[in-house]
Amino acid sequence: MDFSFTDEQVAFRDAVERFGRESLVPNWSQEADDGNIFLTDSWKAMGEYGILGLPYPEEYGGSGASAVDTCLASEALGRAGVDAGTTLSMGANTILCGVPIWKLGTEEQKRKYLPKIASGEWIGAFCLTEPGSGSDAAGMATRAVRDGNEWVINGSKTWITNGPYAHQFIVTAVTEPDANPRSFGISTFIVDADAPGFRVGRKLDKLGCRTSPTSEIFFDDCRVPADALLGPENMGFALVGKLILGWERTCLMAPALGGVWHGMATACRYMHQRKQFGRPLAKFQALQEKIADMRVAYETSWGLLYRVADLLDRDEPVMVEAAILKTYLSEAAIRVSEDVIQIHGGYGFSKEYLVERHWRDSKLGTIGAGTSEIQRGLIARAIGGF
Amino acid sequence: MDFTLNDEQQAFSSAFGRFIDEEIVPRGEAVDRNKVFPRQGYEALARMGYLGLGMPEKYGGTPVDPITHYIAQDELARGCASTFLSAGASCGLFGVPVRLFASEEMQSEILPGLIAGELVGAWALTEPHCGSDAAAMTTRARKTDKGWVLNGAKMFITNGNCADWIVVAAKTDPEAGYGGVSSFLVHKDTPGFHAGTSLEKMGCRGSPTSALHFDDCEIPGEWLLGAEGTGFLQAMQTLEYGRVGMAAFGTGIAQAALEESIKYAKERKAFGKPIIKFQPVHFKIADMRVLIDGARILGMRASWMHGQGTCPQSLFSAAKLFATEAAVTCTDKAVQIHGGYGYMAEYRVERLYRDARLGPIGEGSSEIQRRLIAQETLAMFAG
Repeated sequence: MDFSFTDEQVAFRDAVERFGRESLVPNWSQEADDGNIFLTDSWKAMGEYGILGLPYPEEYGGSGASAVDTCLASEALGRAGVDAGTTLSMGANTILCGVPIWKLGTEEQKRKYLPKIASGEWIGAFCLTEPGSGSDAAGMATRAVRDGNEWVINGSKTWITNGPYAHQFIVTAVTEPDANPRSFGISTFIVDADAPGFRVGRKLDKLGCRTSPTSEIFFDDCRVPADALLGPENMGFALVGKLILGWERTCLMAPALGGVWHGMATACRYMHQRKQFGRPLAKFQALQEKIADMRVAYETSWGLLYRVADLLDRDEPVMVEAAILKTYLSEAAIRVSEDVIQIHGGYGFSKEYLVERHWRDSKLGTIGAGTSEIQRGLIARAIGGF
Repeated sequence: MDFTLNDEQQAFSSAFGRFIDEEIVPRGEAVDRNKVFPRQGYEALARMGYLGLGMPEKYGGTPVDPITHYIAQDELARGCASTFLSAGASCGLFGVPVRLFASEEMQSEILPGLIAGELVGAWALTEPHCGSDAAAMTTRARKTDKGWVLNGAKMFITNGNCADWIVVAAKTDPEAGYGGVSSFLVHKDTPGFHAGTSLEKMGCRGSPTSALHFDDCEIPGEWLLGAEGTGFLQAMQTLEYGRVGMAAFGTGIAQAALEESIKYAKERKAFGKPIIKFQPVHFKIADMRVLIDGARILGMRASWMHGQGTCPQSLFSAAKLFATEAAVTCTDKAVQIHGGYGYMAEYRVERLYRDARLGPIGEGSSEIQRRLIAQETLAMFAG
């Protein structure tokens, strides 16, 4: 065992944190948050900095970074205080859209998409959830039927991160309705936004992560070429699902780990500065205990997160470990951001200190990528053997 | 970065786990009921080499890496919290300061017997009126021509009335605060030393706890441990081991609670199906596993960093705090899953629930740990 980062890794994390603080944080504004506006300048900066394609091999425009280093960079952005909308869009692009193409795509698919996903030129999205089915894949209604050299897709998807701006979408659709289990009858496609019959629905207003645009997506006799199929027919969902269980639940949660650190730092600084009853808040034990709990939440989440990242790098199974990580970290992040508000008192409840934004943003963690309830069910079935 | 166990650690883990299942788990119920020092388990642990883990080879010990040591502690706590506690007080809280601070002569007199399971040790810091506030200690050691004379009382001492040797902290310079504390070795047969009867307690009943009294207790000069005035520093160093140990204590108990809960919930039927099929039951099981993994990684990390000499105080404290509170939460859920049976002494979870409650109190309460973590964290962001 070795629980340390190398000096290079620490320097890398510090550099990404500085990049986030200097090049991304200033692009956020209350107006953008209020208006659900995507931060184009941040996206360009991330593309130029090279953070949008970290894990892919260099020949596809990536940096060949390990899962640990990919998480380290994502954590660094959270530590810098980058808004979670920006890191969510990054995760949907780089991990949800890019990783399945990298791991399951043909040479042509990888050459076509990955360099542009990495550069930020072609924003990526991932379409799994439907109005009538989320974690319950058996309820999936979107259908793809082979017609000569094309696939014809019909159905709709919802809550699609990057939907309004994405160039290409990873789309799951039923190709063998009688398959048992149902997940072995679902295939995955790469659908370009200019495909005939593809339509982006309305932009959805939401509680947090508001700079990350979310929309509905409609497929009305949407035609894509045969080579848009990603991975083997009927097995696409099973394989993508496996990737997503590990990579998504880890890399997309890494900014939340950084967010816990950022919230803790913000609260500590405020407690040193703010005085009540003649002494700094830092002297009050009731508030000290909140800081201690934040630190314990950080250290616990740290171990659970980097364990999964390390196992991903070793090609070991991570399903249970990733579910454990996501359950703990997502709930810890909400608790921490709530305590940060409490420490800030009235200022915390007002918008000017941004801590209320962190709280709104953190709530996505227990819902997206499989709710906490889905994670608990998964953990229990795996260890209980029922 | 590497979160995996190597082959030797894995092999040790399964072999030691089997030993615990065969030799320690079956005695747990009687150990708790009899409320006497778990002699048979202690001797079995000596035969397995547990009492000599991390001790010098020349005294019969086995140098091991900190992860292996952590695994052994975690497994023993899973098997029997009382046995863990008594063995830990003996070879850890007592054995560690002897190994680190005692003279060569005293080490060769004590360590071989301790490692072989023939001697039992104890560590006496807490007093009736002071626990975490060690500077308020009133036990006094005065220098004489022949050595030292001890006067005062200690409280809640694990193995207090069954130990052959005890490390005792006492004030040698009452004006000097922390720097006025020294520590001493005291043999149980020394005139003026008296151990009280076992205190009745909620859990860990197989591990005897007692008060100690020192009435003009005269000891030779060579029983001073390390240099005069370094007793508090020694205690802090000893507690680093103790906090890793308490992290293992919590994690192991929680693991036992999880295993009992899964077993019971799969057997017990209600409304026509095993109760594990009901979400409110199996979500509790998932919650237990989440806490256990968090606790175990923290404990292993603190142990590993301790070995590297890089572990901050806040991480020792975080590991101890999280794991011991996790054990309280997990054993509570385990009792709940067992329903009426969980409330009965006949089922193991009733004992686990009582045993776990020591964790957030012993070796620095949760409140003390949080204070320490907060101070270190606040200082990181003082600029």
